[in-house]
Amino acid sequence: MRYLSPTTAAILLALLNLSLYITLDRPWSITTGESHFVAYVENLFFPEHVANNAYFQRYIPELNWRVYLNFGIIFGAFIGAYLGGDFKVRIPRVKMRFLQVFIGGLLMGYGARLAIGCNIGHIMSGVPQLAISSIIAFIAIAAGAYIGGKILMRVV
Amino acid sequence: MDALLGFLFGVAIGFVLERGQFCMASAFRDFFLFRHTHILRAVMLYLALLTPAFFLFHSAGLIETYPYIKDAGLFTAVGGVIFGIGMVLAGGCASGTLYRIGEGYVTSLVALVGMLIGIGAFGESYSWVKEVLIDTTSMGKLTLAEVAGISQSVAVLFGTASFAALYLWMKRNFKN
Repeated sequence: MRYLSPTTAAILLALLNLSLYITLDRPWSITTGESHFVAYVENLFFPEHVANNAYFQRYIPELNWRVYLNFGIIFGAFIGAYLGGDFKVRIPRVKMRFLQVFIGGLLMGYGARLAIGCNIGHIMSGVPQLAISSIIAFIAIAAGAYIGGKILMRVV
Repeated sequence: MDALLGFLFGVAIGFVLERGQFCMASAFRDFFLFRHTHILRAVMLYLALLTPAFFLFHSAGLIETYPYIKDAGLFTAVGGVIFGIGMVLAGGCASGTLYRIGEGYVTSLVALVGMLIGIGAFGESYSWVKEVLIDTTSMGKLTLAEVAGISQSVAVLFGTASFAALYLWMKRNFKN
């Protein structure tokens, strides 16, 4: 199966986010669901700690539709890659890459929750509602990506 | 029921993201390193379509809670920069990381584990961060319309025109 052009993908994603918003009364987000998932997993091991954590009072430990949507993305991507003949377990040769992506992930998780949204909640869902928070986040994420590029060029 | 709907929306979104190789980290990387705008301008087209669509469907009564937005403050800018640095190091944005796991990238799985731990770390520091940075700088759930003192319909018109103009500008001035 052939690849979709970014333009076609953008139009389809606009239709999907609109349908999602109409159906579930909330636009697309990712890290909100991930926060519920983190609370859920922590709650399995440390229920008392989670019950006393102010953040997880807001993002309660439950596997709600936002969590399932994230699982769905991984599964849908697998179907796409498999049908396209692109699925392959890829392990990097340079082991330092693991440390690099792990640190990157830590920063993404922390930064997204501080900004109350990642590139999806802000750029894909908040900007088309013309939220000031999301317009700020869009510019800040672009600035961060620029700085990140400079860091990568120097370190790697 | 909602869980099933969420999952099905996720499957469709994941399929499109993977087939379109649609990732925000790639979009910014391609722009800053190679001056390619093929993904970034697709994002502008997306915004030019969805900005009026959200508003019109809300006006028609098909979307109830609109705008559904978050508080803005200094924390938005700080968090956004931290996230932006992280996504370049991780080699994928929040959605890019998920679809690459589906393609078999072990590094993306490691990045996701890092993200979840980062979210947990934010949860642990929340009370302190809220006191120091969030409560002190929050301006609330502001829209462009409120700040500019115009109606949402005029703001939507302005926003749509701006995104469409950016799309056309990128399409005309950059080869890729």
